[in-house]
Amino acid sequence: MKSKGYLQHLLKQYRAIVILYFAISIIVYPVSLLLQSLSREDWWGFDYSPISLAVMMVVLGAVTPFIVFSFIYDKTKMDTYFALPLARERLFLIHFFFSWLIQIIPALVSNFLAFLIANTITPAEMLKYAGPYSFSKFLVWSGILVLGSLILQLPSMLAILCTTNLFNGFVYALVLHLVPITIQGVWTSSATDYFGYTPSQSFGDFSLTNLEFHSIYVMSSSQDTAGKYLPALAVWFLIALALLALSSRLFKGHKVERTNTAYMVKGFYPAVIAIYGTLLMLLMLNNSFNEIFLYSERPFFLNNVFISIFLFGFVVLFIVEIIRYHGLPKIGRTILFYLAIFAVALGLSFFLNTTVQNRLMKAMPPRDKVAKIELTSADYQYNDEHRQKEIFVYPFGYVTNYSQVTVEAEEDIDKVMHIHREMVDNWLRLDLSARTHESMASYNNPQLRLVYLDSSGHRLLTRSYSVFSLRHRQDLEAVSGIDLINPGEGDPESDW
Amino acid sequence: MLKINNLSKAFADYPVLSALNWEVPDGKVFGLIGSNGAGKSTLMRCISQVYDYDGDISLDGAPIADRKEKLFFVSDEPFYFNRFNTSEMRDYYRIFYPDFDQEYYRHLLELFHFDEKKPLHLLSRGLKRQSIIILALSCKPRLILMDESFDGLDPMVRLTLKRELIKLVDAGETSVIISSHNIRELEDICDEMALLEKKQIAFTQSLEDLRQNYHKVQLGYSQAPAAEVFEKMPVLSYEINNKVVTVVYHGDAARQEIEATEPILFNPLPLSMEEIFVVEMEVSQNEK
Repeated sequence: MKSKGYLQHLLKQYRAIVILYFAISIIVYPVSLLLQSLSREDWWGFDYSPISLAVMMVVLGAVTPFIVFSFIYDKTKMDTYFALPLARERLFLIHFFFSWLIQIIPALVSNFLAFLIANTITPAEMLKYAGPYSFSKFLVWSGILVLGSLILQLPSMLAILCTTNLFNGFVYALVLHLVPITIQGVWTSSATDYFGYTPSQSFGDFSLTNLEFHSIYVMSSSQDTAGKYLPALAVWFLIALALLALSSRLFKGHKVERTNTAYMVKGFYPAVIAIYGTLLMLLMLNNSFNEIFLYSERPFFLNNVFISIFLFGFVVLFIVEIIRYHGLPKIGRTILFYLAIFAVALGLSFFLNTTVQNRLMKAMPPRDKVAKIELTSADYQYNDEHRQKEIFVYPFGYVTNYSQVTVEAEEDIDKVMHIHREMVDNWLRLDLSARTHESMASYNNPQLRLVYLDSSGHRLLTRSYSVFSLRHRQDLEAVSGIDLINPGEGDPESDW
Repeated sequence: MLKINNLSKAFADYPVLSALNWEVPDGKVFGLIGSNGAGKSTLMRCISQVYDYDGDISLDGAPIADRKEKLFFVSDEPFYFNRFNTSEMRDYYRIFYPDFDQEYYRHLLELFHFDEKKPLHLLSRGLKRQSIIILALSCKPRLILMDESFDGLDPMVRLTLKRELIKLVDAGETSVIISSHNIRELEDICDEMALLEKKQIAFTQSLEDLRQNYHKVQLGYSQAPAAEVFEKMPVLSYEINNKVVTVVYHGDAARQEIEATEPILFNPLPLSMEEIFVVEMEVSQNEK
């Protein structure tokens, strides 16, 4: 009874916010869909997916906990809230649940209205590109909205509970919200530049895309490949549950007397700075890794880029420390803290760019699982007349000039895998200057994409290569029966 | 009965309350006094579970955390939701206090001539305090904690409130603890006084006992007495002005020693509650 009554009270207390959320949700999605449908403009590429709603929910997920839990930064209010005959955990859960409800109910109503509009008012011609807004799509998107909004408010929740004033809370919440995207950035910056790397179907063998969760990503990916977003959602749902349990515990042990003082949870500031600082340094080092470690003529610590990154990171940390301590920090402690962050980032960058990349380069699916291998060779030429047979091939994008064959004989599979292994080994034996030269030569060598498939047709591994060795080219052509296309040799059918 | 056993509370590394023990019997209005920083508000917040603490606090034998619906804490800053009026705040507190007495609430509104529909943010500080006190009393808790909640109330309201508190205390088992710097105000309302000094309850006594046991006398001597004479006596304070000495003392032993100095004048003076606590606090602080 208490919980129900309290939820009703919160609804009354925050009625203005609830009305505002309803208004925004309806304007950004169903109203805009309705206007587009009535105007009958922009038919080509017309998209009814709730991306705008997802963007809105990212913002609301970050901001709403600050509204619903604003009492935490006010000692007078805390006197009343904590003195109430209500267990602290229950008080926390009611507020958290309310914060979630006022975001999700307007979003679900909006989604339902949009579903109705797309199925009644939107002209059928406009739906040619995206397909009909089916009930199953509606359910999937509603489910994503429900889980997404639950997850998205937890970084802010954690920041609120670990800080003692609104400004700090906002800053830390922003940082915590950026962590998943930054991790994704770090990963892609360290694992997208190896021999054989193939985007779009990448990471088939080593997926860290699961670390990326924000509803915009999920919304957009859910349109393309059914279920692709599920691992990401599952990982982040589990993390969200852990964060929820942690938040509940922090709320229970909340020290009211520390409100508006230096800290609420002692290790929070160094932990956040250490984690996010390491990620940012790692991102910068990864992006300049080759320049610093591979192609530099000087030792890495004398490399200009390395020195610049090192100094830049220190200056940023020093400024953050000044803001944190409202004055000059202890310089010795700051230097030690920074050196620790930088050393970890440097070590991780080296590990990711060498060990992990080598592992990705050498990766081969287990032989007993491979049922067939699809070999595709293409060049960058694109012919509108042949558009119906276009495919996406890295690094050229969509092409119409390609050869493709699938080998299924056990003997042929063994041969292709053997050649594949030899190509990688040869590459690893090349010295660095030769690698640089060869890697620039994708337009002067035959291009080959290998897709390993199991007996049910699932991709086991996808890799794209420039085939440098003439022997490998000849062997591959012999086993596959197709001609490998070399963009540098030109297309006999083309006028180019 | 509120029972506090071995209560300790520290902020960072600074102890505010240390191994504090206190029993508050039912049906009493207790005044809690102490110097600035003595820990009155901290004690209130520990009892009301706003602060975590070490030690045990129980109400009627059960941990107070399990009896929070029998406890109402009125903070020194009146609390209300933005644009809410007293009637809406009543609905809020009714969610948590099952014993909320609607009829009594109406009675209090009439008694204080209070407009429950007026938004609280438009009211003066004193009226906001009245509002929260009306709500606190209407919740019919077993224990009401008021942290300097009487400051700013006009004399008429204070008198009315005093009468209501006395009725409430006499009628049931409600106890009230009121902290204040204004001893004069507490004197009007409380049955008993407690002094919080040196991180503990230094003493508790009924007002009657305090008035009977503490004395202030003016002594006259034929020759100016030496200060050492009074220094050695168990008096609470003394002030020598040539041949006239003003002494505040407590108990018969001190009186006998004073009489032994054979003053030619022994003139009892009125002693206010405020003077009693000022000298007690001075004594307590000097002992530090």
